[in-house]
Amino acid sequence: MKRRHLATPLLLVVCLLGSILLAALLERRGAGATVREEWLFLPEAAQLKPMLLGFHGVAADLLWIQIVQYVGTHVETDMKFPQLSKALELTTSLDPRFLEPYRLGGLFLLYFARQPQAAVSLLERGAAANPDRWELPHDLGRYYYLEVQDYDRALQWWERAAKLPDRPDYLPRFVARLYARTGQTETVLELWSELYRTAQNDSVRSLALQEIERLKAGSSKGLSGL
Amino acid sequence: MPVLSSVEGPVLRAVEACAEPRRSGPVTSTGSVRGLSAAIGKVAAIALNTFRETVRDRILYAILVFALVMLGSSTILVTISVGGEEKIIKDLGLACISIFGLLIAIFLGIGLVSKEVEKRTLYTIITKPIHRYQFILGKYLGLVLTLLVNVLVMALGLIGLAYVWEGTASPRLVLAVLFIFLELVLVTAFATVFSAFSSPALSAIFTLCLFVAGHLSADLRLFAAHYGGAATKLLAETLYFLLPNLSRLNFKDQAVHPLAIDGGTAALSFVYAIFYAAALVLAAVAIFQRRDFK
Repeated sequence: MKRRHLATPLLLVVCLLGSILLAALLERRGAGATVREEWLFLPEAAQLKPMLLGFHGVAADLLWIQIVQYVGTHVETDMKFPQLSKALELTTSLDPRFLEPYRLGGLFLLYFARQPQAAVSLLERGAAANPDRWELPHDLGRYYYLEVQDYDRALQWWERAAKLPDRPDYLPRFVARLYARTGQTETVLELWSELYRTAQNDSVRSLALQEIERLKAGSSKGLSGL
Repeated sequence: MPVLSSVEGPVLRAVEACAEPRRSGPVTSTGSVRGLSAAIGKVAAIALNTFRETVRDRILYAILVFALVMLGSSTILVTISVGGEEKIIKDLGLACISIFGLLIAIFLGIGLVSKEVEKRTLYTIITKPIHRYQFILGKYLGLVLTLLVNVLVMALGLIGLAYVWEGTASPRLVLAVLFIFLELVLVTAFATVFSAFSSPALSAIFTLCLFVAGHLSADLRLFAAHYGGAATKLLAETLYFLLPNLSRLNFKDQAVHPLAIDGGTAALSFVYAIFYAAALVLAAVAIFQRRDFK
């Protein structure tokens, strides 16, 4: 009688331990890695959106969290981001009003994946989808100012951003400096300081800090005035 | 003689208390008012007892607890994200209310009538002075009341979370929850229709299919417009207007992003949901009235 009572919990423990052991064995054989293979296939948003039955906002959130993990992993390993642009495109297509994938995604594409064209295209799509938000024209202006020194384009985007509600106080100052063709060092320093202050990602923050230190040491290139 | 469950006793007593006395004379305006109030009393008695019966269901608590845990866990999820924390919390919260509300509506709605038939308690109720429409309406409203209480509990959880995270709770969030509730009212009406003539398993499948179809009707129309011939377009157009357009009740994007909500569209969507649900309940009544329980 007692034996019969013991049989069930004993079997339960054996099965539980067995499943843990088997999971560990599978992990050692690399089965886990096969499952974690990153985004071999990313569907098109147009096909995916109807299947989400109105939950596209949550899908965009979850994909964004995965992108953050993906970038974090590859920044620490091989610095290769083959699917980043596609994943960001999918996220922003699922929720075109979600600003972080444009803003941070643009920085990831620009500074980690070294895909400036993809970054600009992402930000331009974001600016078109969110004409009432200052953040995306601001970021586009920053790109043209800092990365390609195309001051006319930077002025064009910043002027647009400066007219939008809730824009930061420094934007009209930047526009004025660009018109006067002065204060480039200050603008560059302010831009990187702002990025350092607002960055929610450690990698971006450390990149901004490096640039600030470089500027302060007077070794930054292209600061010889306009 | 079937044994009365703990619910049937109060139902029958309430129904009997509200029963109008049998009269043979002409119907006067006072009489019709009294008749109407008696009918409302019977519907209310059945609704309240359905509510009491459903809140005793353990599955309801399991779903509710799971929904609240999921709501809470969104705060853990945002820690691994970068930016958009408020959005993620609201998105996940609204999705939780929608999905778990749907589960409650389906699990409880599919057994609304069929459970009574299966337990043979229905036979006791229909012998009483109660119309079949009163029975269906009471059952439906009882379940809607259960859903309302559950959605309120989940919504309070979400609004509390949003308040802790943002320091404010947007009225848009309340509006989005209201429309989720309306969507669930529609789903419950579907479950009631299917429950009136089908088994619980089939009712669940049908209701779920209509939920999916309700979200895809606009895409169906778009697809037909691009690829279909004249007949396909006509069919898609018919289905588009015939199927419930649940995407019209989706205000989640407006709640999560600071987007303007067109008052007229919201009001029309509200009335649309009420009309559609009323039509479905009437269909359930029509089916139930034709059923032979001998």
